[in-house]
Amino acid sequence: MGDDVTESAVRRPQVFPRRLRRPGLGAESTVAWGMLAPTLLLLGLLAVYPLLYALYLSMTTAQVGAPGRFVGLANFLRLPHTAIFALTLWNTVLYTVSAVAVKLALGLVLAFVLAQRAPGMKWIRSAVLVPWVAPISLSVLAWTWMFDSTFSVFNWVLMHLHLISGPIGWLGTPRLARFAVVLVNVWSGLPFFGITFLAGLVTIPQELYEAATVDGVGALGRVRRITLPLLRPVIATVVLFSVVMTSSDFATIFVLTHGGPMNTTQVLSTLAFRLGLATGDLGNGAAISLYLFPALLLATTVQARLMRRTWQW
Amino acid sequence: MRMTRRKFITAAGGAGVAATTGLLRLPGAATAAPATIRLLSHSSYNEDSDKAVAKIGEAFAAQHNAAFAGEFIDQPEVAAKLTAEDQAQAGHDIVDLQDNLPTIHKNFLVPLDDVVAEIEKEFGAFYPVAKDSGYVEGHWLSLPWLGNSELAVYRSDYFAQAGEPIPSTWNDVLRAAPKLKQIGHPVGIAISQTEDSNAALYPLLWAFGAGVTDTQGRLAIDSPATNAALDYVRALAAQMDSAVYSWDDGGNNKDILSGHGSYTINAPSIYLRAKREKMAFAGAVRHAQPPAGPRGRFFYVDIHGWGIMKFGSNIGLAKQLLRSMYSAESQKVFLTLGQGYDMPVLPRFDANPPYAADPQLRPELNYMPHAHLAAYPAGPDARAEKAYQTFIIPNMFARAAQGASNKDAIAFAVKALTDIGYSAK
Repeated sequence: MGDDVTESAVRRPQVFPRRLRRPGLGAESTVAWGMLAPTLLLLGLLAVYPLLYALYLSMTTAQVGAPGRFVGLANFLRLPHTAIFALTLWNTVLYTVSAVAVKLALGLVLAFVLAQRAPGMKWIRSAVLVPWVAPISLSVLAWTWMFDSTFSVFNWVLMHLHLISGPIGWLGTPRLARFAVVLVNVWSGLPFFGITFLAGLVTIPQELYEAATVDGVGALGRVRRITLPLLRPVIATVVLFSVVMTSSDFATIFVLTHGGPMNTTQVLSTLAFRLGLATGDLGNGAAISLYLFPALLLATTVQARLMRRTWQW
Repeated sequence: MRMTRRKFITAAGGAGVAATTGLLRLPGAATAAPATIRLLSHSSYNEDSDKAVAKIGEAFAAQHNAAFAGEFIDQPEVAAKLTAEDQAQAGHDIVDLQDNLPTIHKNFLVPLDDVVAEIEKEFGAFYPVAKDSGYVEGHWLSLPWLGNSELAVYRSDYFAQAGEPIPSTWNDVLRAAPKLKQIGHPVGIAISQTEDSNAALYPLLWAFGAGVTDTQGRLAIDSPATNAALDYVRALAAQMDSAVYSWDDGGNNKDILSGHGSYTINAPSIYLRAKREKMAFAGAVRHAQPPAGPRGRFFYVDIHGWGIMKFGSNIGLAKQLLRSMYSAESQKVFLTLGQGYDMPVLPRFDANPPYAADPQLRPELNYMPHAHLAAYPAGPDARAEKAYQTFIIPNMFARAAQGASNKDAIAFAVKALTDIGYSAK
């Protein structure tokens, strides 16, 4: 396979569609850049410019209506010494790691289940996607009701089963509130993991499993020696996306707990909203929202390199 | 002439670009369009309040060959949207500015001294607390519009059942709380990251003689009075459901409306909802002035005013609309639909508002002259807004009520307040 890739790369100039090389359209590279230009323009306007502007703001004392002065990395250095930020940073890491780890483990299990041939499996696969495609703010509102202090369906069931004597303050106790926000994130993100892993699973040739079975490898061994290694690029991609999306999750926390109780579910995105947008402290708000950017960039680069590796079977 | 595919695409693309950039104008199309006054406001718990603003705006627009577009969204989103619009230099003409926001957005607001002068000349001066919010560095940057009170809301039947009189002081509340809990209808005051918690706990702090700052804005939270307030809330919290630590702004409303709760601190929205939906116990939902503490009775208010953005395209028309909001007719619409949830900020209209006919809303009369903003006893500023938005005071009380010592709870508050810019000097 590797040889094929190299060969095709060498041949690439010759296979460029001859019909595009017509008078008036210019050189090949001009056409290529021309076709790329709209995408690059959009990326520049919608991603690069806001990012650079946020980076600039994060290194100033800017308040709304006052440009402030350049302070370099002072905001980034000062923030960890503030009580609310230190707690928020810890919450964000805890939230991201817990939610991604649970989604990864359950996602694999879900994929194995969905890969089975059973009556109605096509419908089940579609139904599994519902939490993922449902608007997150609406589904979190439903969860808010389920955790509600007065009308919690969980409390109602537990109390009617005589398992608890009084209502549990799901969102008022730090541990339970942290559990609740992770649970909701897992609920909404699990289908993405499951379906993507399923797509990876079905590309693994059955012959490998058959050969392993003939060689006397058990079910767990086949998973460990065939499935997981061959799923690695898919797992790396999904985990990469999930880490980025979970660490910047806003709606789940903002709707469900407002960052409470006592800021124990506050994450960087909600704190940046509170300080940067609601009170106009743009410099600190931008610094808060960009705080994990270097770590995420590093993780993305490492995972992207992993994904570029050639996989053969 | 034969239209080739290439010519068609070129012509259509060019027309699209021209239309998008405004180069192509159809005859008469631009000149005939009426100006649209765009207004951004918080969405009120009393939905008729939004209707009142829309009604006044639409009536004004109809008289001035203009259009009116009101956008009503959650209060925290209003504050965020204002910042975004400031940065973009584009957005609404008229915006809702609560409490500290005129100070924060002062560089983008059109001075309204002329509008306020005309109104005060006709109707007299605004309440001092309204001026605290709207008058910034020598100019009126916000036209005060309404105040939202925080009253004691209680179920008279539950208090009768518990054999307790209606509390006048915080000590009365604490005395009644165990009895109310025993009959299954506990007191419930939010100690959580929500605006209602700020609105209940700031005046409690003041009633005990404590405060975030002194009159000069210097940090003053570490005091014997704060210790006394923490002791009090710890004792009261033991008599409340633990649910109060997770309530949002609707938490205490649901607690009373579900028939469970007996006492809370809130605006009259609970009573108004019970009355509107003809709930059987609506008549038993009563109001009283907020409880007094060792240092007296303190009234908390959220002031909402209207600001005009400098980048708006209809500044003149927007000023006229604001002026029209202070006519006898507009005020009648506003106060009638506001139903007592919204209180007037001009004493002239507070003398005999339409809701005064309802005996259950009478505790609102004479509320505004004594009311304070969250920044009290200092003036509004960005630090007060940060303390409010990050719920430092509710979190200080939550820590104490959930096991932290007074020393630790106060140390938390001092650190958090120092982090956002307060200092003792």
